[in-house]
Amino acid sequence: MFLPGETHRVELTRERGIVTDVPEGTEENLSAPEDETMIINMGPQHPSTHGVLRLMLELDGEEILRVKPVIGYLHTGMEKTAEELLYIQGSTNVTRMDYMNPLGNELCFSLAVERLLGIEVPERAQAIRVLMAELCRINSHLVWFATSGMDLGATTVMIHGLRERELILRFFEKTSGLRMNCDYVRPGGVAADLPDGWVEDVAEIIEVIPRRLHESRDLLDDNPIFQKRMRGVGILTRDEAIALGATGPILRATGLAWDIRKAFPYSGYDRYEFDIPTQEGCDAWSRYQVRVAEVNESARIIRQVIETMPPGDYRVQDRKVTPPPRHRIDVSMEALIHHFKLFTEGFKVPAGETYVAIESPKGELGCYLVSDGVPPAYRQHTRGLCFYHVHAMPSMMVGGLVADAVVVIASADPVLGEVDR
Amino acid sequence: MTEPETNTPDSLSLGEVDGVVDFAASEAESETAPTPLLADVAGRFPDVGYEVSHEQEVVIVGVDTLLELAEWLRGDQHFDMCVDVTAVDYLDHWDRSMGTWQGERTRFEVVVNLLDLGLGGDGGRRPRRLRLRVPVDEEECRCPSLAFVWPLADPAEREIYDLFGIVFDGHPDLTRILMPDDWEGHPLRKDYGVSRIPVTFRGDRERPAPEGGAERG
Repeated sequence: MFLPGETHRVELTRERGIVTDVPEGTEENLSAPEDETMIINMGPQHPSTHGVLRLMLELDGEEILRVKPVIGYLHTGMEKTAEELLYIQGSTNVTRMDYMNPLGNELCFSLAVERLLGIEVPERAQAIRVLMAELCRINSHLVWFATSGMDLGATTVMIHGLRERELILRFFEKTSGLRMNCDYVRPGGVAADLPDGWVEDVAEIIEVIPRRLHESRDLLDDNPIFQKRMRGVGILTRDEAIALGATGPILRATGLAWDIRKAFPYSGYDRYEFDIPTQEGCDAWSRYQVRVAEVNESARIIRQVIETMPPGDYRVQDRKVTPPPRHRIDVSMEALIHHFKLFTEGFKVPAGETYVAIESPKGELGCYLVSDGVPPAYRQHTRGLCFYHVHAMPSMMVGGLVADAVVVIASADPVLGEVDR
Repeated sequence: MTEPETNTPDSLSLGEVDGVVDFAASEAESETAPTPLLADVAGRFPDVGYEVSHEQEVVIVGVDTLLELAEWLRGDQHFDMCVDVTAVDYLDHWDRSMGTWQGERTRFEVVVNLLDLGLGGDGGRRPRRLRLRVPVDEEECRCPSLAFVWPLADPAEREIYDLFGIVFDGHPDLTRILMPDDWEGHPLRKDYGVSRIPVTFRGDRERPAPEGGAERG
């Protein structure tokens, strides 16, 4: 029986008393800490905070007593912006949130819009989406592998991770024209069909990356320093993870095989065979193992996608949602009108509200969408999973050392673009 | 999408004229039979409303009943995880034309997405989702905090307080989270202008304006 409230009540009492509205540099405003403790700011420009995250740490010597994440440095009001954008522009907006998983963000948004529209995209579009989402998962985990290696002093690993990732970015560029923030998955399907020679490109990616990742792991797995820094650090038990809304590899590292791709399949994931890697350790080491294993599972899914890629349309053939092909505009008045209407006033989405969740590389990415029937979305909220992961960090850090805080941040894998939105 | 929706009765047809809301269609759908979970909720809490929105179960609950319902859902119904808490400002749509439910009409609504991982009980249960919609009055603008039921609500409610100005009673640390601490207004409210925000830098206010210089912003 889970009692998440009980666990967290203790945490909250621990946290209470930390002053949050302290202008930087004004020491006298801090609540007088006891003689032996001191409060230091880690960030917002600390290199290991993966962006602009500021942590207020109360320390007793090297031990962390309390932690307060301070966020908002990257807040650009993306949810407010979304209320001004047509649905066709929406992908461009959300893709910038978790910039390590751009196509996943687009997929989540597109699924929400399609649910309100009541349309289902063709099978080929679904398969392309799965392919791109899994490539994004590998991409995200590689960047995580690279940066967390660097955080722990393993700079070679960083070069390796970014080198491997380049293969994926090149494929994204070939497909969508952009390396990141592709705006490729859109409501109604995807922006373009896969390029010529995609099978060879993707086959190379899933052949090269798992092999090279395995080589890079040789640098870390048996390295006693790396092991000592990862094992038993940043413990978050299953109860705590559930209570604090930590999903994805953090939850799977507590032994729970929870994956939205299995629990609530979307975009045809139920057609593919794959396993959910889990670990029992609840620590940074387990999260590392889970992520690396997930790269192999993603490669497995991609292999099946290559084998079973169905022919057909890559977007839904509904002229109220999808622009007509370019050549039709020259010969058909209706096509011209549809094209003009779609790009000036956008397509209408029936009034309604829905919540759609997908399994992003980091956990449950959700989109709550409210439409009032006319084009700009009335409200588009993204469940920033990194937002919740950042707020689960105090539970992982308290009682540990300052040096371990770096490991905790790395193992939680926050992307500040999504935390602040 | 894995669950094709063959009939969405509350959907307007795509070609329909702007802003026309088909209330007849809305009322027709609200008579659909409740799912077992919704029937359970309605049996225990007579003053809550419910609807099925795009195959998702939704419970509409007032601020007075919210805490009691939340405790029951977490304890008896195994909704272990609160996935997300957010809010909507229905300033332009007090009539809730986007939903089928036509009960209490308030300006704000707090939206709580819950998840049952299928862990507790005798095992082998299917995971479920449930959404709570909590109408919040404009003048009062208060809602009980869920931070002690589902700890995830702690940062989420701070975000809502920051961006919508809804006050959560009983929240342990209700401060701004995304905007600067001295920010005025709540940006995600519908009556908050989008083009009138000056660029501010912390500490700039005390500094005298430069001689003959252009104004910031």
